[in-house]
Amino acid sequence: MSQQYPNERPMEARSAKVVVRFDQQQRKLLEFLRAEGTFGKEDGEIIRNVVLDYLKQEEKRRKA
Amino acid sequence: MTTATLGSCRLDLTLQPVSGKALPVHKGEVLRVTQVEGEQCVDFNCFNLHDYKEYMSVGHMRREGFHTRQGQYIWSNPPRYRPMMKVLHMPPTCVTDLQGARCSAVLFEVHFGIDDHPNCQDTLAEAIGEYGLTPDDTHDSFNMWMNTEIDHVGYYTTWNTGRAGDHVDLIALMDVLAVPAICGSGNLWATSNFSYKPIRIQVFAASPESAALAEEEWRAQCSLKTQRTLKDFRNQSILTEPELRPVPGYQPQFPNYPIEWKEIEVAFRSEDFRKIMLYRGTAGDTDEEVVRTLFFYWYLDNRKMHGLRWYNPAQAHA
Repeated sequence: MSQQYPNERPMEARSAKVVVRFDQQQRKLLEFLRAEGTFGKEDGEIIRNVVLDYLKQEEKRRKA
Repeated sequence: MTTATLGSCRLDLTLQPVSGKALPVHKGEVLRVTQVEGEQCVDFNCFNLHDYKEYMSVGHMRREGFHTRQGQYIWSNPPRYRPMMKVLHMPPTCVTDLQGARCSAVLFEVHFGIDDHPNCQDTLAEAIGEYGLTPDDTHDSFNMWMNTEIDHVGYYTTWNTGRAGDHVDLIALMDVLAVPAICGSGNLWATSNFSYKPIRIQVFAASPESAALAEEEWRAQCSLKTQRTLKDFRNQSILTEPELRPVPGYQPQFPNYPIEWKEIEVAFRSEDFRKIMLYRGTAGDTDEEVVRTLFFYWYLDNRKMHGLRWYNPAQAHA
């Protein structure tokens, strides 16, 4: 983790594409989710849909 | 299921202060430990009767809580990590402890200047000596009727709440060498309210019901590929010499070594991305860290199987 506090960072142009590294064991979880079929087929698609679902769940929790 | 009709009592003895006894308890049999007068701490060790290198792991029991209760298990040491016994009965006045390890002669010399005080290390060692085990084979105790609490510094002992007639029933899920002992610290410490008392020990033979329960529990808790035993070890020999020397040509085989990373591009709509970035600072400092963290928060919230307790830090912050 960086030593710099997030709020102290200068604003920068945001790309909507993020490269995430997953190791071989973490990718096994992607395999499990791929087998479920609910979140998509490609690794990037599965991660995106899971993160979006997390945001949805958090929003629901906040409203509850 | 925490009840079963017991078979006949095949062994009944009273442990006098400050003794202990190593007792084979076979699968389906029940070990009963009873307070005769109350307020007596009982230290407990447990070994696989057929493989003494498999023994109770207090550290792994602690992962399920600091005070083992009725319905919980005595687990063995990884890589075996198998259920050795289950607590069938435990009254609320029996508070158990997994923090205190076991008292030893050293503690009494350090704290009181007494160099020959009874202590659980030596009592347990003498008891297991009957089966050819050495003082080095003694392990940390599951302490029954040992009231301890925990604060920001560590654990501390409080007044023993055991009552005369209280009993704990432990059903064996494998053949074990069970070793109850009268705690040696009890006359100088609150572990047994500053006096020693006897403890009654009984072993009940397996009944059809207790045998079926033991088998059912064994199947339920011992079906994992990763619960490995001696036959699965690369090196199955046990050192007989105390001196450690490197094994010529030895190559460790660390699981999944080396770690192989894969870069995965994840595309978000900009409005979604803005929401994700609100987690910067609490779920990671970089875009990558935040996305990976939120993925795992979701996974642990929604797909984690039984076992480990999981508290989502993001919810704790809310």
